[in-house]
Amino acid sequence: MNPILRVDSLQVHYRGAPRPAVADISFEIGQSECLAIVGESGSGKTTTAMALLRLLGPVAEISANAITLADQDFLNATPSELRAFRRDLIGTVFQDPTANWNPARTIGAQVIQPFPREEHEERRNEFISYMERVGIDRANLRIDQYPHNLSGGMLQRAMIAGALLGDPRLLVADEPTSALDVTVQADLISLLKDLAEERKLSMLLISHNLAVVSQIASKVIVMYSGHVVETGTTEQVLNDPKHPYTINLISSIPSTKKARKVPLYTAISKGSASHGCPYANRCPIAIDPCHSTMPTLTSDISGSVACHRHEETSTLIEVQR
Amino acid sequence: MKRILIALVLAIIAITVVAPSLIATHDPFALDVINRLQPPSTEHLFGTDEAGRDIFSRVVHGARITIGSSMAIVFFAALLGTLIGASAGWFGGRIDSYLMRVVDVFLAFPYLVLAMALAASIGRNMGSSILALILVWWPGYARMVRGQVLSIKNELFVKASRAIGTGNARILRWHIVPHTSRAVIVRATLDIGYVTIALTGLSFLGLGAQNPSPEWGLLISNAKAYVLFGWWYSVLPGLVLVGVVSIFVVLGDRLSKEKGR
Amino acid sequence: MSALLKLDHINKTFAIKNGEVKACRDVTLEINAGEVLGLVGESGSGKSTIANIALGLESVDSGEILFEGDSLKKLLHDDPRSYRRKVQPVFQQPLLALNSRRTIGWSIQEPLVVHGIGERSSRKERAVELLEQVGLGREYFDRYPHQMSGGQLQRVNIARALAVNPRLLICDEAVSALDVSVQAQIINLFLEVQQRLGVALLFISHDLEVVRHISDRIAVMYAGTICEIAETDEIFNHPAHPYTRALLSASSLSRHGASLDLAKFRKEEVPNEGCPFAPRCTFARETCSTSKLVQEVISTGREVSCVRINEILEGVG
Repeated sequence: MNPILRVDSLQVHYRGAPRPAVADISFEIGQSECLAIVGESGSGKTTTAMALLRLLGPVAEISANAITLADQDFLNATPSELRAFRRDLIGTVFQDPTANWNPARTIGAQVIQPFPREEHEERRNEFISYMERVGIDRANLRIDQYPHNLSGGMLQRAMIAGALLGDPRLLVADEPTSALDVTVQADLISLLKDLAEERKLSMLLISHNLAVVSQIASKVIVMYSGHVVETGTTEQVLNDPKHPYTINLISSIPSTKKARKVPLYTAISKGSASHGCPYANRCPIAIDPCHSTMPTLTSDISGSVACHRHEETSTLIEVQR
Repeated sequence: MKRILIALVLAIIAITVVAPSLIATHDPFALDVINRLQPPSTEHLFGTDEAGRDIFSRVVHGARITIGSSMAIVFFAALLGTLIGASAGWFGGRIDSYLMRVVDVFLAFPYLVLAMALAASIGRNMGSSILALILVWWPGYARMVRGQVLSIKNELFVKASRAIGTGNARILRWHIVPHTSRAVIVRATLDIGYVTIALTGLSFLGLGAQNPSPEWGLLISNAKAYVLFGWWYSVLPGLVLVGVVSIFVVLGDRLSKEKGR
Repeated sequence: MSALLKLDHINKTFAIKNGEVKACRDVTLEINAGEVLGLVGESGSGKSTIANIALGLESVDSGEILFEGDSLKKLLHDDPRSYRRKVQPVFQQPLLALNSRRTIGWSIQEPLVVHGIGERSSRKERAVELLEQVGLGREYFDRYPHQMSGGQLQRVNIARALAVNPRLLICDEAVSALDVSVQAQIINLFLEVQQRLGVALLFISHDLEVVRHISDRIAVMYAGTICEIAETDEIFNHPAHPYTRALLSASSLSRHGASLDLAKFRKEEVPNEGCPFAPRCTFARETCSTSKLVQEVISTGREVSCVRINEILEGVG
């Protein structure tokens, strides 16, 4: 089965910026598969997703060898083709629930509007049933309410419900659970997993929440400062990380397995960004080549990692869990 | 563009309001009846009026009166309005109700009608029209500042300051009022333009400046009678008035579009 | 040992558009000197209201608040400043908590000025000292908030809170708005500050893992009620209240209560009588909606508000 989304060497450069926002990222998402891009703010993870969806505006220069969606050329799609893609094949969930709704229209009207008129009735019922599935009660009343009538958590869930309309093949979700309570989050994750199976829904998840990632994603890409530093299956990356940054990330997050009341691992920056590896000035095992030469992504069966010392990292740095 | 405007404004203020004699070519009050109603020439840039006085010099000296008064009016109206509006917004409750009812009463009248009525009843002179316009203009500031205070009051940094133990006066002084200053300055800049129109309007109607003052409204009013055979008398000062008012209004508009705190 | 801050049977109701919200229902909480009490709950649980009450910014409808044994009401009436000096806040949004028109140095000195401590030169020195204590160099003294990052600004807020040597810090979601790598740094700063200065912390958060890492004891809140209070390890290893179990299982943290039914999320239907969690609780019986909910001590160091807790613990289910 062909992958639903194929990205080959995507690069994003903001005009006037000294460094690229996204240096070079390639990945594939198969049917029913969930790929997570993980990183902190400024890593380029959101930019990658927004660039894919062509939502960045003219100030961003996007280039790639190829981007295909459902075997169709997505990179060179015309605006009307893009609109069709966005409506039929892709569902999107953005990060800030309050900012992404038009305050002047009801949530129902906004979600249904992109669809052809003859489908509106059907879509309306579909939306109501999805809203119920994501846990919004009295959905038939909520659908005609305005965004300000709903709480942030509800708007987030409504956005997810709206993204599922029309049976998309790919869900692009940027921090979909950040505004939600932990109990709602758990429910939503199980819903998304069900849908992945039932509807063969694939997902591109952007998140810094490793707990959510571990529950729902099968593959992970770790980004730092616009570069891909590590990729692999979720299990490999989270249980046996190879890149010092990934190790740092996992070590700095409090978890039940860690001793309490003990300082968490943090990597302090030792200077300004170098010309070589972007992580060099924070890396505890950086050596001279790290500051001068950009490491390339070396791949093997288990995944890939961009680090000059990738073979030694697991012995040199202890992952603190 | 904004810098050009600010430079122009400052030039206007500096020269005409502070030291008009530097530009004026003649004594604005000097009579020369033989040379009455002369068209513009190299000697008299704007020509002469019905008493032979140099119109250009009268315009320059009148600027001090007109613009100077407008600025004073706006300053005091803004000051009074800010004090009242901030108090209403901060204290709320009864104080807010009473103060805002007073504001409502003032705002219920069309401003020119109210200004005319006040100016006429206080007395027919410059002072009374200045006072009348201050009274007409302060409520707008009060309402605006009150609205601002109501919203700033709920900001996190105000809550943080109160939690730290800061008293009301300090909060108003350091946290609330500084955040209203931008809106007040923008409004004040625009208002210098609008107040100038109102002020010259009152003088035009005979309620403000009295002869022989070179105040612009009065000047243009006097020019009424000679429109047919002395076009320069009303048109040139009129153009200056329009130009000056426009500068203030455009600058104010520019400032209002700026983002950021 | 008498508690530093004690909230005793607090009730607070807010009026809203179509009725009212019971933000606090019969809440009883204690924070002891030098300890970290974590307060966990989801949105709408009432934890921020507790923060505001503890800061003296919100009144209560009924119940008593005692600080070092004295009634808070009386303290605020007689000498509000002295209470505020001992209890200081750290809020969620680092940038919004600072006056954008004033420098960092000014903001850190504000508590000193307000409480009349020191004079101009000594205040400035103290502010610089505080900056360095929170890990920022003195060059930040003259900067403005918009020139600094979220993590740096939260350090500033902590510095400001420590300026007058408080006995208790109220941290309301103090790390929730920070990026994941910065969170660790600020958590470490809180740990260091707490251990070095012996200041007590009321640490409010929705993030269980963070709360676990930093707290000595944890109180779990749901819809205005305190469901459970116990030592941190006890809460995580042996949660008693059904909501605590549900929370932990939802966070995939523990293996307890994994089979709880979390499917019904009707947040609007929080009943006025009885236990507010009853509509969502698998252990609920009729008695849960009709009996008066009482927060009681069920073993040393553990309090629970659950009508059927004894049956549940015995495994009657």
